[in-house]
Amino acid sequence: MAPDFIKDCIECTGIVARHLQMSYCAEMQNCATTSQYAAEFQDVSLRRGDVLALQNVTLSMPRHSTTAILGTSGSGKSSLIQLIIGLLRPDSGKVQTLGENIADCELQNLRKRIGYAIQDVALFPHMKVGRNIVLPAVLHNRTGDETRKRLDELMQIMQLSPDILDRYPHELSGGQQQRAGLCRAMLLRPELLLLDEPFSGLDTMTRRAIHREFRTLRRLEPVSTIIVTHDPQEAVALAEQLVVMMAGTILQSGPTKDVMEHPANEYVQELCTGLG
Amino acid sequence: MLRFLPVVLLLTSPLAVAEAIVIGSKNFTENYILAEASAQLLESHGYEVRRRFGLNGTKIVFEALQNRALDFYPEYTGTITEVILERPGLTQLTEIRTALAQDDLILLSPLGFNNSYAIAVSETFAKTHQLRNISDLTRVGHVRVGLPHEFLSRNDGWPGLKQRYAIDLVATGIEHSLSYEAIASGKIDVTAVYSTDGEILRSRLVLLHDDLSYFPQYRAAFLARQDIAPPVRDILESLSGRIDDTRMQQLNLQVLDPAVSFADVASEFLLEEGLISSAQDVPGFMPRLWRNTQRHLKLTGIALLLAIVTGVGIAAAVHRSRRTANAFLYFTGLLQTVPSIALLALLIPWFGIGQTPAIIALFLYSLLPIARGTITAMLAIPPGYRHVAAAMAMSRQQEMRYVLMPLAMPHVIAGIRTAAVISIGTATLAAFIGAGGLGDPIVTGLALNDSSMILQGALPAAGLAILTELAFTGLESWLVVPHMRGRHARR
Repeated sequence: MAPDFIKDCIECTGIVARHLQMSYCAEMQNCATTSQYAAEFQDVSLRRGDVLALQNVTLSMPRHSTTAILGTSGSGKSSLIQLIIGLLRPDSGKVQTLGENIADCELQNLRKRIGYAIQDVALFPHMKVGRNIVLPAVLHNRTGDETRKRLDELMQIMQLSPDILDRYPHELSGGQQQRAGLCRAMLLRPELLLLDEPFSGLDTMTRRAIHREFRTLRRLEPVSTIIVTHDPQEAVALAEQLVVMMAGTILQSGPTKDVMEHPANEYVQELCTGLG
Repeated sequence: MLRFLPVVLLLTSPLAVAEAIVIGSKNFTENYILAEASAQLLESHGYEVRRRFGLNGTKIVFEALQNRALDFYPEYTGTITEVILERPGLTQLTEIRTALAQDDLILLSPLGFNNSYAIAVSETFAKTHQLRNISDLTRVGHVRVGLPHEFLSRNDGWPGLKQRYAIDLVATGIEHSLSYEAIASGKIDVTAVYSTDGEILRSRLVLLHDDLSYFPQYRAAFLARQDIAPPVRDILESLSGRIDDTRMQQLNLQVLDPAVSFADVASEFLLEEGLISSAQDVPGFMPRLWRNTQRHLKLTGIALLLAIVTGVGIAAAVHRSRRTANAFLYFTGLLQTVPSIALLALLIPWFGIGQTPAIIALFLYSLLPIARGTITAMLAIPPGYRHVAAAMAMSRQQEMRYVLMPLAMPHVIAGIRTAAVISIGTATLAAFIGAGGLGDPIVTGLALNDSSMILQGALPAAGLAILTELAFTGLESWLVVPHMRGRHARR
């Protein structure tokens, strides 16, 4: 039953995405670059300390879909996402985000087009939740009715009640914190959403609920999404594209369905076992 | 927050005001009395006077005079030739004056007495053996000699004396403070004392005349800058020759009464001599306490403010590079190892005496806790928050304002709190270089061996430290949200 449900969802999201692609692109007309890829890696290697975190990685992640990067800890998947947003620089090779080469573009401008949420430290502990969520708007002087409306909209999608806005992050449940983190990442309607293990550390029930809300969000706003996870179930549940990593290399990448049906090796096969 | 208002107001007042006559004194009783007498005399003539009393030692007070931080202070001819000029051969006043003139200094006419080592015996012992001079001691058969340890071992002390007078006696060492007791109870017959010590009168000792002129002369006189205003000089000269050995012993003795202050003794002396017409109003306990506390807050307040701006500023600038941050911490740590009294003394050649060097020293001491607190806190911030901040396209300033500073704030405040409490303690030492504050009564109390006087400075300083702690608790609750305070911190 679960696989069917997932397939339905993927299909459904895909259709809506294609539908919305036109208007979405129209909105993006003003952008300097319109690459067909959300992120592209060309022969990228990265050393972190004594460890080769990435080894000759070549990879493209298409726009307007959700790509899951799946791997165990130490596989290099977090390095990948930090390269995309320019927190790290590759030792060799080229990383392009939204068509911009991160080595020679104005990072501040690029980052304004990206939403980012990570595990554990999703929200700043010294700010109330409401302040946390609207912080990106505060930073870029975009507070006002529009932001207020946007906040209400996101809160509704993520099933958050307005009274949490006046609380501090530690007063919220883990699930509420992650939902709030997502709202913040989506506040300024980014072109690219980067999620680094955003839902790990949550119990199964909560995670399922968030997955549901996330899919709703994606259906309504088909933003290009790259999500890093160690959980195959999560990857399959959320992503149309799948990248499987191990020890700094790509084992397999492609549409989720293809990867699951034709695993490239035993490791990938084992990951996919029982997922459909 | 209102309790900081007085500090803020004080900070706005200038460090130094118009031309006043600055008088120094060393930190022992006699020097205080002489300096205070000169101060009151000048005040009675309408001069504005600044008292930089209780300076710690000849080096500090003399350098201050050379740096124009002082106009004059009471000095001794022996100290001038031995320590300042390092020409022990000079004995004549004219020779000394010629030598001092090269430094643009002038020694005024001696006040009268000679505060040198002297050989003392009890009244009865002197009568029994008909002793007047030191050489008379050779006539007496059995004499028990008990001498302060320093005098016993110094070349210009007992060994030289024995040689000069050909005395063949065995001496034992004795604690200086116990020698009066020992001679009064008849345990010893002869000891060495300072010739103007008040205890000589109280213990009824007789000083034997130095008939072979063995001891160097330590005649007291005001040592002044040559450009001292002639009228001021004339006024000071009016004190010359008015205080002989016995008179000085009396004055020194009077001050030993805890109820009597230097100012009381000086003013009584000037009245008796007809140099002033009415005793000066000595500020009472509360005004004195208030004045000292104000000064103390001013010193620590300015130093702390400078240290906060510098410490937090530099820490914020260097925290991204662990190496630079560590270098900065080593440097501030190094400053911490310099003993405070040494640091104060080292600053004198550049900044003179008084409040400026004191503030600089306190500033340097405050840097470490503040910088360490800030840097440690910044380095301890989980990298995830920085990533999120960077990903939000925050500028450096925005990152500092919205993320780093608020997260570091509890530690920064803890560092400032430590610095403030240390400063309040250390500032008491500033009195040794004439900066005033609550260290004033402590330094005076030390000179007088008067513990109640010491407590007049020590207790308010302790109280101030406690108040500071409380104030910072208040500050923290204002600046830091409850769940991030102290050990309850949650991130």
